[in-house]
Amino acid sequence: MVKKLNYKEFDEAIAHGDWILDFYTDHCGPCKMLDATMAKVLKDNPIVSLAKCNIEDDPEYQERFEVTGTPLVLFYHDGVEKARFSGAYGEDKIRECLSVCLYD
Amino acid sequence: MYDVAIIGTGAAGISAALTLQSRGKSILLLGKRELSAKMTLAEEIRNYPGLGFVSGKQMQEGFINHLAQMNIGIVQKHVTEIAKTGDSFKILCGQETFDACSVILATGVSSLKTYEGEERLLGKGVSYCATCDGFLYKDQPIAVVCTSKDFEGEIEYLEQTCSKIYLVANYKNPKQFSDKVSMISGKNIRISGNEYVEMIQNDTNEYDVKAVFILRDNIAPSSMIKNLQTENGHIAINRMCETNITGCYAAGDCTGRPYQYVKAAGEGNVAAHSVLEYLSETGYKGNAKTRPYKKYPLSFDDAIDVTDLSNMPTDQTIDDLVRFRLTNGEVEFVEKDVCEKGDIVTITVKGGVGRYNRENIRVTIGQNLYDYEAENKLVGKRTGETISVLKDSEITITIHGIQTPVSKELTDEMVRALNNPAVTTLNQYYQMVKQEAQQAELDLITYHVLSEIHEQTPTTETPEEVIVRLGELEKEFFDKLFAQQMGKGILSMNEEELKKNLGVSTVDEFIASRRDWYQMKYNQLLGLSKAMNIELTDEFDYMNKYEVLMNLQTMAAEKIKNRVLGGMSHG
Ligand SMILES: Cc1cc2nc3c(=O)[nH]c(=O)nc-3n(C[C@H](O)[C@H](O)[C@H](O)COP(=O)(O)OP(=O)(O)OC[C@H]3O[C@@H](n4cnc5c(N)ncnc54)[C@H](O)[C@@H]3O)c2cc1C
Repeated sequence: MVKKLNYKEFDEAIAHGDWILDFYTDHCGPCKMLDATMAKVLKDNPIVSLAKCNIEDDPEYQERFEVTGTPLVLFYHDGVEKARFSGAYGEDKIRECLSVCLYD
Repeated sequence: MYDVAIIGTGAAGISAALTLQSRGKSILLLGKRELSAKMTLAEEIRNYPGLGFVSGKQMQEGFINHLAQMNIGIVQKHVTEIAKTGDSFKILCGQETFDACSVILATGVSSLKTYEGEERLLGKGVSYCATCDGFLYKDQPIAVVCTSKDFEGEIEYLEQTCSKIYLVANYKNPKQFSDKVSMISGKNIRISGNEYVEMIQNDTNEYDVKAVFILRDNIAPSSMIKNLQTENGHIAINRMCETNITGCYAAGDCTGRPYQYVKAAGEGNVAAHSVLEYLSETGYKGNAKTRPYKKYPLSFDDAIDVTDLSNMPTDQTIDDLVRFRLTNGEVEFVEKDVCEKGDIVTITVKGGVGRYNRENIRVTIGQNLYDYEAENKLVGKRTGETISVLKDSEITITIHGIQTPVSKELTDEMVRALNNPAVTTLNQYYQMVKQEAQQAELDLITYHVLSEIHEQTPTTETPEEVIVRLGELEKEFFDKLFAQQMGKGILSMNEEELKKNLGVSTVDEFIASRRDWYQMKYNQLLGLSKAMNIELTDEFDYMNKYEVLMNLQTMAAEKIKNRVLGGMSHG
């Protein structure tokens, strides 16, 4: 499932379950590259949800998650951060982080 | 998707391209039309078999002719990043991306050193991409180190975003920027800061900045593609020219000494053969075509020929898009009896530690995110059954439930929930999505074709009378437009109204500020009309008609659409 989350609804939405948080901006090339990969990962792993967080619309994200480059991707299990990476890594990296997030 | 993307047009890249083209693979050859600066530098080459004594210039000509003979076109783009996504690669050139099944890196060696502090603070204020990270430093002071005029557009972007820019311009004739930009010396550059960038220093001064953007032609391959293994500054390869990343090969100077044409060409050939083997083993196949070789300047049809048309959405992509949009990727989980790949099982694991000691976890079978062996063993099992797997100790896994994900059935109801009175059935929605997706790709193709034509047009000095005339025509045009849309033309507005609508206090001031655009427009008019074989008279007389360029562009878009959609229905 994909959800566009604004900052106000953020904490409540991700409190339960396994979430990939994708912090992005509209004009970031690598972010767009990541989109297609994410769609594939989600299709293969329907037990995970994706939250799309636009850090220009909600600058609060930038401060709280210390975003110093986009895309930044965090993995949350029941509201707790389990893994993260920054940059346009490929599917392998996403899967590696997901494995940690879901089971470690 | 191309079978292979080759990055670099030196001896290594070209050698690989020739071999792969003759084996019928689709190639994306990225580099420069004049090939390699290094190649032309050599005064005399004496050790390339069969050529005798030749100059670098002759060598370059020989290579270009060979590419023409084999009908291989060069895509003149600078690669900034490569990412492996699943089985394929995404190649990013600024904001543009290409897809390929495999990659050959043939980027040569860069003589550029990194600056002190650059690598340590990369991602912590040091960035290579202005449009990616610029906004993070909104209204803050930054520095830019720029090595090529090509990146001035990126500086302009930062100019709008940041409060102050200290610019090191390591190239000839930098353009005149606004007062926000101060030129500083590029001698002995050091970047410092504890955890994040705090300061940039040169031989004379230090400047407090929050970020340093380094815009350079040559990006080290290891920062271009994540996790690429290097050895003493070169890409690490084995005898087959394989890097540590599956599907990614390297050849030429970038893999190490000796730096020689023959060695580069030889490795290009080895890499090409490894790619052939990789493609046949995996069965990967691209659907794009190698860009054909064309002599510059291009005609309009040539410009379409050298543009990638293979990304037009297929029925399958549109199906997927419709489903994804209407369901947001949501699925229902349906209970079932026997576990198969793709199913989701709820299990309890005992006997081990960490992930091997868990209650009620959910695992998608076959994704291998939990455990390859365990997931394989669960296939064919039923709810209530227990299996055992030997990890560090023996673990037991009990299945509590098996579900299969089912995407919701699409209904007209879902379409109606979108509240678009014109689109109320699935079929209509499908048609709308199809049209949107096709139009979006057509717009992109048109943009590429037009910029290809624009790029090849040598800039001519715009006569003053043309600038004046284009200004007059635009004045009339805006007057009419505003009269129509706001009830008052710009020529009848007072100072206050002009300030509000155009941001300046007189119409003449506005026209004067558009000078750069008139020069560009004049050059675009010349280039596009020439490529389309249209004389700039009568209805295309730009000295008497305002919309000529717009009309030419619309005609171009129409021609492209007919070609692309016409071609699709034929096959
Ligand atoms: C002055 C001089 C004299 C020489 N004389 C000889 C000689 O006599 N005999 C001999 O054998 N060798 C000679 N050499 C060495 C020879 O030039 C190199 O070994 C050879 O050019 C290496 O080829 P290459 O394909 O590996 O890389 P290069 O020729 O360096 O080509 C690299 C290509 O990659 C492109 N590129 C790099 N990064 C990117 C990117 N990010 N995106 C897109 N494209 C990119 C570049 O534009 C370039 O086209 C000489 C070199 C010099 C400088």
